[in-house]
Amino acid sequence: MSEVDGAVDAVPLTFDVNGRPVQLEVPVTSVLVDVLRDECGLTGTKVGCGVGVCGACTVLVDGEPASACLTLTVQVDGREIETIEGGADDPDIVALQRAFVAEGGLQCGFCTSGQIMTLVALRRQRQGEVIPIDDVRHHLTGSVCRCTGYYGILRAAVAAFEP
Amino acid sequence: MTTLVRARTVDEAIEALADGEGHALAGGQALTILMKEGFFSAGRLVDLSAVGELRDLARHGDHVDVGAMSRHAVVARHPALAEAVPGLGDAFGSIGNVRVRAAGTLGGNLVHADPRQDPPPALIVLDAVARVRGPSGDRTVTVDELIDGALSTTLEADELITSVTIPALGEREWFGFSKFLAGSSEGFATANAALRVSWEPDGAIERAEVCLGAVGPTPRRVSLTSTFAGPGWSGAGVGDDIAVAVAESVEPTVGRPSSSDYTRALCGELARGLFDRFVVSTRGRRPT
Repeated sequence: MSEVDGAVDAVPLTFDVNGRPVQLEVPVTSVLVDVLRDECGLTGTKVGCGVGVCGACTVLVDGEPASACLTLTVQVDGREIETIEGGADDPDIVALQRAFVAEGGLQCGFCTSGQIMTLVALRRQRQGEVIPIDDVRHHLTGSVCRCTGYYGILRAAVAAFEP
Repeated sequence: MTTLVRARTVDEAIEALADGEGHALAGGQALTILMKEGFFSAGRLVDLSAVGELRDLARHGDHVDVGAMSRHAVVARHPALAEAVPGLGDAFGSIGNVRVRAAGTLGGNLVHADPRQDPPPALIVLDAVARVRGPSGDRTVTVDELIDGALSTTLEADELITSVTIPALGEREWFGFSKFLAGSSEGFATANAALRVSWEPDGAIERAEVCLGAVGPTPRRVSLTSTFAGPGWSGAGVGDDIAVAVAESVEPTVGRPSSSDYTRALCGELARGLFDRFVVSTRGRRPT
């Protein structure tokens, strides 16, 4: 293959995870969820389908929900990543965690980090608003749960979002 | 070993794609799935995320230019588009799921050309035009002519879509988009439809066209202008005529999630529903 100016196969990156800087060099094909789980030891983010459909791997990248299983690590250079482990410093995560427990929003827990991070994004996007339940449903399309039948998750969201 | 080039300008991206060994990295979702599933292995990824020009989105007189790296979530609620083409946001606001909409881009959507996608039928019925740049310069191609088959476009390997030009609706025009979802978590429509209607000052219909998506290898345009012929078009029975005309025009591909008969009927009902929406929402704007 011909040479192109500036083409690199090992990419040095600097990004933030839950407020802490991370510096790594990764192959171009490295996927974010593997780096979070294996390099950073943050196993709260789960791999479900591996193709961005189920939502189990959802993390926040600069505040936006992202499928960590489909995000190439090279795409997060200079960005802020938030995972479920950020709960110690994030009252939105904590409120949702408590509500999920109280309202039966989880059983096996495998989809739960993804559900919560997705809801954190919604909460922040509509700070101070009363969010209609249909908007919550629409926002959670793409966060699949095999255990709860979803009502516990919706109840938890409503409870956590109560002003 | 895959290499990465972070382009800072469109021309740098074109240079990095010139030898045919490169592949543009936009949102990275469709591309990354294909790479992970082993459908192809990119020699060189050309990251477009730092090319500011590709994110420009602005109205210029009678049209809106939407940069190819505009994310679906942005396009869905951008005020310039909401004003120029009310209802177009609907073709972007329920793509996939929130993660897909946060990362997915207009350009990436068009070059992927999955037959089930939402934006193409909407853009086609609006006569949207893609601006393309390659080593030999710039050209334009309608979105209709860009998509030439399932997962296939007329773009060359060394070309990039830089933006899409969407004409603003005229004073006596209406656009609507509708999507039927069967609850798939992937968020792809069983069928979707985009309707555009323009009318004369006296209320007679000048042009009406619906474009169906997710039912064939490419979006399917169906002219309804003759169905609306004559001043009596708003009478009872026109909805039925539209539903039948559309159902008969659709040739569903085999192997889709719904049967041919169901798909045809569904397309007819989507068109009828859009027609009803047109009638109700333009009532105050047309002479009765």
